[in-house]
Amino acid sequence: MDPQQRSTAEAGERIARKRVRLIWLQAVLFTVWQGGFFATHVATEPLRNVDTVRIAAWLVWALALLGMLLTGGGWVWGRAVRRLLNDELSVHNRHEGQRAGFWGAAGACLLVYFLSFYEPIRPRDVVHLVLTLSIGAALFRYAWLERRGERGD
Amino acid sequence: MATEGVLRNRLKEERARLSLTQADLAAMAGVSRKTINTVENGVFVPSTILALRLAATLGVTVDGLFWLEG
Repeated sequence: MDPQQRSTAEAGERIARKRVRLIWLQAVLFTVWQGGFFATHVATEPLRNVDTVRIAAWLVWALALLGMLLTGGGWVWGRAVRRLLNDELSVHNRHEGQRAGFWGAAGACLLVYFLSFYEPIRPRDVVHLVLTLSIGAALFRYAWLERRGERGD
Repeated sequence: MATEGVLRNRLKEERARLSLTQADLAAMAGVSRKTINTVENGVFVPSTILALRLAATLGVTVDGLFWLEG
């Protein structure tokens, strides 16, 4: 095996392990952050500046996570490392994560449907709930499968 | 169409024959070590392309490396 091949493989392994930790962290933070949003937010209009900033930050964060779930991320690394990061197993795990995300979204829709019988729900809150449960479910499943692959069970 | 049977493999034995670690084989086949690990343990069923690549890397035929059981 040539040194270049070995160095790329080692870099890929190292970055892949970091990525798994990062996905876990993002899954927990994103879900907890949204839990905080639902616990503390007050449905008042117009929005205060602080709320606008908070919502914009959340939207950028959600879009970045969706981009990661769609492409596998690793955009800052070279093509060789990225190909290792998103090899066949990782792509399969990511697709399994997306499938979990679909069921998370369906579950959130059912939850909103039943809640709407007891309390009016604003469309924006529905979006928050659906995105939180779908992205959260996708990230947790993806991270769990990647971790399982590393452990080897 | 339902798929019956379990995919078994001789990846570990063939790797040992050539004195390769999982990391060595992974680098030679252009995949991550965890892919080799999960294929070896029967957790992940590789695509035909990956099966062909692994067989070529180990110098064996695909049906010498993988077979269906049950």
